[in-house]
Amino acid sequence: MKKIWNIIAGINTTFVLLTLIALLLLAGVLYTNAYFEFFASLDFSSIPGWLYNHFLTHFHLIWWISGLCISIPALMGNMLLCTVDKSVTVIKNKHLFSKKQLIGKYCIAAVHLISILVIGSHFISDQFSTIKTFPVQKKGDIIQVDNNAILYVTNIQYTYFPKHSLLKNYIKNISVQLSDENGIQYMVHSLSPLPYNDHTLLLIQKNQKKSKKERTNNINISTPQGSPQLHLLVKKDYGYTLWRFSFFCIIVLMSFFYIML
Amino acid sequence: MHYSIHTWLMVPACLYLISFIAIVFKKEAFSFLLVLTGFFTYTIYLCLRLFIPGQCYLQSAFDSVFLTPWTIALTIILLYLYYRNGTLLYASFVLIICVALALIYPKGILPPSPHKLSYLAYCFFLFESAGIGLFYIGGCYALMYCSTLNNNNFKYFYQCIILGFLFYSAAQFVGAMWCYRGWGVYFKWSPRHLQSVLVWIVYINCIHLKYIPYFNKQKISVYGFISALLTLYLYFCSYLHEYNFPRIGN
Repeated sequence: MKKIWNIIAGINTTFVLLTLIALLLLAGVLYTNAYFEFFASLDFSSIPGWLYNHFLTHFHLIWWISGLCISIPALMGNMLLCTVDKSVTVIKNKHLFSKKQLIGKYCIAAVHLISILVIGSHFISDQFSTIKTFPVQKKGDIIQVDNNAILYVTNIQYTYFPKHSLLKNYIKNISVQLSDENGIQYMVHSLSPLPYNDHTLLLIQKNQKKSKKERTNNINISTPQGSPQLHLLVKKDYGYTLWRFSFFCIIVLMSFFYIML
Repeated sequence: MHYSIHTWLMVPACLYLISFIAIVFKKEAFSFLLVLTGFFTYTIYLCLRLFIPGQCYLQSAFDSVFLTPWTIALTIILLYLYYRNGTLLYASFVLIICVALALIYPKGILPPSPHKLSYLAYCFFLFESAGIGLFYIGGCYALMYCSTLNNNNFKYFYQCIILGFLFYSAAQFVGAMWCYRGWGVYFKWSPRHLQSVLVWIVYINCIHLKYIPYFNKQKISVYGFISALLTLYLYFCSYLHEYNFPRIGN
């Protein structure tokens, strides 16, 4: 029993799992490079559902995602057991360590436990986030945030670079003005999400796909670039909030450990 | 007039090359002076790049291909000033490779789009360049440790890896926040994102090797060197991917 515990909670297992994950990710880099559009459909889908739909038809392309779905929870388990194991040993023998050493050990234990939260937050985002996409093309477009809240597009404004610039025909910022049923105005800009009614509204721009020949040809900077396809994402994602908080804590704790201690 | 600024890039390239030759011939002070001069001339080049479109456009200087040599040079200078050890200047070899890459790469700027114009994007490119710069330098010291077994080289290697990992982690954090605001998700199943996670995982593994009895300093150094090569290869491939993109002021 002790031997099994040493294996599953051991750092050698961590090394094996991390190496396995690295190899699976390397396969992922190669596959996503070759089948970019195919894997892009996974960005806004739930992983288990997506895998279920493509498992038999595209197994030769998606096997590495299945591998990641097994190896990442295994790493989480190993990390948890390893941290608990080491922490118990440290607490039992804390009289042997100086205060500085103890802070360092607790700091590292916290980093590992919070790392589990980071992976957990990805799981929450994948399983429990809700997302609705609305094209934004003209004034009057309706954004149905939820059953009780509707927003109307009242204005779409494009800001261009100054006229003396070589970039004068390129869009610098896009703003969409929205109005609710009571006439209250809201503004969503590119890269500035708007919190609204327990949701987050994000303005997303999708450029029209260009052929390789079009991309390779010299760019004509004297003609205005076409208006991009705009979409408003209405998102509820508690995983992201948890992810942001836990990842920030990890960076602070790691910096504290390596720089201060 | 806008296009002639790129010839300025030859100046730091030559200075770094001479600096490396100087340190091979044990002219430590002269080599450091050349790295320092090269760094200042490269900074001037980056400032000139800002005005390629005819107005100050920050994204021009924050292109990873052109920013990485700057962060590498800054790291070498700071390491040398801290430790005052001439062997640190051998890392100017990494600098030569990165500046050579910048020399052959298209010099224009990628057309702007609203979701690239954010302080998060600038922070991301700065942290990422600092991270991968430190990984490359770490790889160089790892190779030096394997060939000389000088413990100082291992110390420099490990510190570069740790500091690089902190910067790279910060880049992952800021990059994901940028991605969420610009694309609506904080992780995309794209080669760029997977590549970042891959490099991150490889270096997490590298940091943990110290606690595995099987891995002595030499084995850790070999792993560190291979990791640096893998990082260079992956970033080189992502640069190649953007090689044919239309550019302004090329």
